[in-house]
Amino acid sequence: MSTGEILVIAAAVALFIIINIIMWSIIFAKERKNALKTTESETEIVPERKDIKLPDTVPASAAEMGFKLLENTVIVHTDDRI
Amino acid sequence: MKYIATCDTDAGISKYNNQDSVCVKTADTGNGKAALVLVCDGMGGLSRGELASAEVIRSFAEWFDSELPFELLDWDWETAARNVISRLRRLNAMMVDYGLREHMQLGTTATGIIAVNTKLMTFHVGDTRIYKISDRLSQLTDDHTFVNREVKNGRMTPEEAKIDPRRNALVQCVGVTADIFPEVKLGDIENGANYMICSDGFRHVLTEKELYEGLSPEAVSSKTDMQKKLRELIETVKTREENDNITAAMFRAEF
Repeated sequence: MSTGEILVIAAAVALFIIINIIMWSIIFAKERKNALKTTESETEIVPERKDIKLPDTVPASAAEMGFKLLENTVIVHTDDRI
Repeated sequence: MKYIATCDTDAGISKYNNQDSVCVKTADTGNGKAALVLVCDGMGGLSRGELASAEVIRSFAEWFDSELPFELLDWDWETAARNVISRLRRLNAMMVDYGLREHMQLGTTATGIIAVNTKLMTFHVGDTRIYKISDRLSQLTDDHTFVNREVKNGRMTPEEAKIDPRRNALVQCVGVTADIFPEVKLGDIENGANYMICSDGFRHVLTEKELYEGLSPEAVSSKTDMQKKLRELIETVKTREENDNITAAMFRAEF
C-alpha cells in the first residue's frame, strides 16, 4: 500500500469520525431541546398551588403623606392576567 | 383606634384548584386608619374562576395602595361608593369581553368592606356574605341567588330554598351578565364588633349558632384568636365533606 493510499484512507476515517461527531451533537441537542419543552409543558399543566402574594409596598408619594400598610395579605391563586 | 384583620382560605377536600381570592389590608393613613377586606369566590370552567377572582382582588388591592392615600385628602363616602360601583362594572365588562374572546364563561362574587376611621362601606355582588357579630349574628348582605329572589317574592319558602337544586344559582356575579347592580351600604363601624366575610363554602355546613359561638367578640378579640378560630372552623367544614373552596376574612375595630 502506497503512502498516497494510506493518506486517502486516513482522510476518509477522519472525515467519517468528524461527520459522526457532528451528527451525534445535533441529535443530542435536539433531544435536550425536546426534554426542556416537555418540562415546560408539564409546568403549564400542573396548576400552581402556592398562594401568590403581591408586593408589600405603597408608592413613595403615598408613604411621604404618612400612608403606611400595617396588614397586607393578598391571596390569589394565579399570576395570569386578563 | 385599632384595626384588627386577618383571613384564611383552603381549596377544600374535593377541588384541586382554589378559585377563591382574598385580600386584607389595613393602614395608618396619617390621619387615622383605613382598611380593605375583600373575598371573591371565583367560578368557571378551565380553572378560570381563579383568574376572575384574582382580577377583582388585584384591582381593589392596587386601588388601596395607590389611589386611596390621595382620595383620603378629600374623602367623601358618596363618591367612594360611586367609584366602587364603577370599578366593579368595569371589571365586569372586562371579564365579559374576555369570556367572549376566549370562548369561556368565568365569573366571581365580590363582597367587601372598606373602612375609614369609624365608618364603613359594604359592597356586594353574589352569594358571599358579610356577617356582623356583636351581641348577635347579623347578615349584612343579601344573597344574589335565584332561590333568595324566589323566597323574597313569596314564590318559595325558606325550607324549599334550602333543598332546591338551583340553590347555588346566582342571579348576578362579576363577569357573566352584561351589567351588574352592586349592593353598596354605608354605615358606622360598631366598636368591638367582629365583621366576617365568607364564601358559601365556609358557611354551607356551619350553623348560625356555630358561627356566633366561634366568632363572637368574647371568643375572638385578637388577630391570633381570629387566625386560630378561622382555621378551626375551616377544618370543621372539611370534616363535614363540604366540596367547595373555603374562604373567610375577619375585621374588627376598637376605638
